[in-house]
Amino acid sequence: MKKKLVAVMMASALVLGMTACSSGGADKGGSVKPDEVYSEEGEQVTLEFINGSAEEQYVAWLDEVIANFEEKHPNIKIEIQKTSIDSFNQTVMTRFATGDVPDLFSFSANDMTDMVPSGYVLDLTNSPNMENYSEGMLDSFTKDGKVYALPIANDFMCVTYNKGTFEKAGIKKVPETWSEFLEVCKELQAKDIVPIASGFSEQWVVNGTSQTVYCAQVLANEGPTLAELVDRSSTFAGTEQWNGFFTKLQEIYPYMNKDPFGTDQNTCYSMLANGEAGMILNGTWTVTNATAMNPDAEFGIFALPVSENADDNVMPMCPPEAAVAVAAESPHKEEAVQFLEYMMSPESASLYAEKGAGIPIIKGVDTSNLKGAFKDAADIMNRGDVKVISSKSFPSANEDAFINDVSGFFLDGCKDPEGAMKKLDTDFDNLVK
Amino acid sequence: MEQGTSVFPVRWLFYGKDIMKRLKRELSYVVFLIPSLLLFGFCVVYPFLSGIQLAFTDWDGISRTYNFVGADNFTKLLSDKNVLQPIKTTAIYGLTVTALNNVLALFIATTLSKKLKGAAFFKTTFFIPLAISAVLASFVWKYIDSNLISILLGNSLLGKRETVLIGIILISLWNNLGSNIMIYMAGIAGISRDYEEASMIDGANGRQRFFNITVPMLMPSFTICITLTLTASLREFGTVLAATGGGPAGSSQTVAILIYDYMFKYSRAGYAQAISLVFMVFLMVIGLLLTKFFRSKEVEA
Repeated sequence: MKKKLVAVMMASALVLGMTACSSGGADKGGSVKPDEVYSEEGEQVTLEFINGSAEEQYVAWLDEVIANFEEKHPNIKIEIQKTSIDSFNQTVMTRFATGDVPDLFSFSANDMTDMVPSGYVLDLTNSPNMENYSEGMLDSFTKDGKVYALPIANDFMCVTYNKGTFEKAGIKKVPETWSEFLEVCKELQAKDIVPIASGFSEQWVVNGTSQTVYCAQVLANEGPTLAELVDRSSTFAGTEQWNGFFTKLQEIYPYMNKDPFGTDQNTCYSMLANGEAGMILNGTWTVTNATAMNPDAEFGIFALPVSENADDNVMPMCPPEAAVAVAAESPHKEEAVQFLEYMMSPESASLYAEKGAGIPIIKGVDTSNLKGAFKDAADIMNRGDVKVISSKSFPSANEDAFINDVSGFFLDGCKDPEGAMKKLDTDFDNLVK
Repeated sequence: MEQGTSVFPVRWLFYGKDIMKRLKRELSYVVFLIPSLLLFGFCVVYPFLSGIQLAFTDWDGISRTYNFVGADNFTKLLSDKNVLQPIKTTAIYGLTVTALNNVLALFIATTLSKKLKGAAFFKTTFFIPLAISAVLASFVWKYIDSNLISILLGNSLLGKRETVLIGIILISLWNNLGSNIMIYMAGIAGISRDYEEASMIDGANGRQRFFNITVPMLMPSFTICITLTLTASLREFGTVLAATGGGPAGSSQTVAILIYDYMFKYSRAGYAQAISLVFMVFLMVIGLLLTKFFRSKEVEA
């Protein structure tokens, strides 16, 4: 039965792929054309793909994409190397430094500064897939007009909530202004539900919650870019938007779970999924992780409403951070690019959305199959309630200083925004020297 | 009559033979050493020596080229305020762990050395955590901390700047106590019963026997245990990284974590290498001084 199902799925995927290719303009896409298979004379090629994402849906999607691809290209095998996010950079860096290069690897926008100048990443500018991205979407992977990696989806910082929990607490609509947001927090707390679950024992969560607030409060609000803060042409202290950032933290801190620094994020996901908590302020990946804890729960997302004017509260979004790149020194460049192009094709992107792995940013994807938070996200996109913002991530040394100082601010009971901003300025000053 | 002339060549020959013999014997020792010397040289000495030069470069940890910057990294280190907190944390952690670990280990070892019911059971119980890696131990204790200790104390240990070191010290003690217990127990087993019997006849009580016989006779064990615990805990890495990653707010960042951050996170491998070189020299000096101090206190049995 299961085998039959897989067979049917594979067959339909194959047919889909063929129709996609035979229908007009996409012909230039080339890579998915079955007649390009040259298995007979082509030697067996195994591609190594170092994958940094362990999210269940992503892995499931990737497995299916690989199965589809291998069916069309019997001479190519894709081997996945799983590496945890924490050690991903070292693993990849070490592999490159020692000359033992993988063919494909997960690539983050941060890698543009070190890996691209070192000449480790293949230039993809001439790929036909470029047409599938909207203007500006590839900015984070572009340097001197050359594109080095292709993304499938985008993550952004938002509020993730449990629809069932909101309903149970009698909250009828998603908050649209800051005072409505605080009101919702109060109502949840009155019902003995933790309004905002925060797993600050993991440092990236401190950063994630901060990003949710500063993307909306600072970056989408004409505040200084993070790069300006890093190169010290702008300061935290004396910037109205950053002052707003710390006052917002101050206001939401009483609505967080007790002992956030002794709680890890997995606990928070399960609190959200099981109705013990109402919201998590972090990235869109919260939905996937919380769903894994309780597949029956339905989640939703909304932009953190930092303004009192409902119309100003749109979803702040950076160009994507995560993508996949091909190693310039790979011995099987052609095959690797071929796979990458298939992986980022509209066909794979549709599958990506159906699996609930995330929000695809590739043109030609049918989003009508989406549900829950993915539907919310699609609605936001369709309404155009999106604002493209500058990078939301500090360089790692600054990021660590930022995390430490914001953690300190929380641990001191959020009493001293002025002091926190001064501390940040001193620490950032020291990093420039 | 010929004695005077004949004696010298004979003695000379005799010495010559002896030298050859001694040489041969010593050469055979060296032959046995060669495999491990090669391995040690290849795995420890060579990488160490080839890494030293990096401290004088601006290497970022990934690119294949780098520039020599002289002693820049070392002068930077002298004015770097970021290293103060980790040094303080490391010193507190190292000294506390060394003191607690040795006192506890000695106490448990003396207790277990007496003829107790179930001594074998307790020995195993104390020894088992040693077989668990620091990372796994940290994960287990993190779980206990956020699900049990936080309920008992109202706050988790690892989640507060004031208590995070206590939490990590607890994990480290649980994890590493076994080895010192073993060494102390072996030391105690090596003390001849004669001394104790003699002192008992002289009317010494338990405390006097412990401080005047056991402790001095255990000096070689102290040399090993204290030196090893101190140098190991000063370069503590795994437990801290797995338990807190240096947080909250950088309050549990040790020097080893700092080096790791510079090396892998901030892409400043040259600087990281400079810190680790200084740190290594410091650890070597401490190790040598401690060994010298305790060796001078050792008594011949």
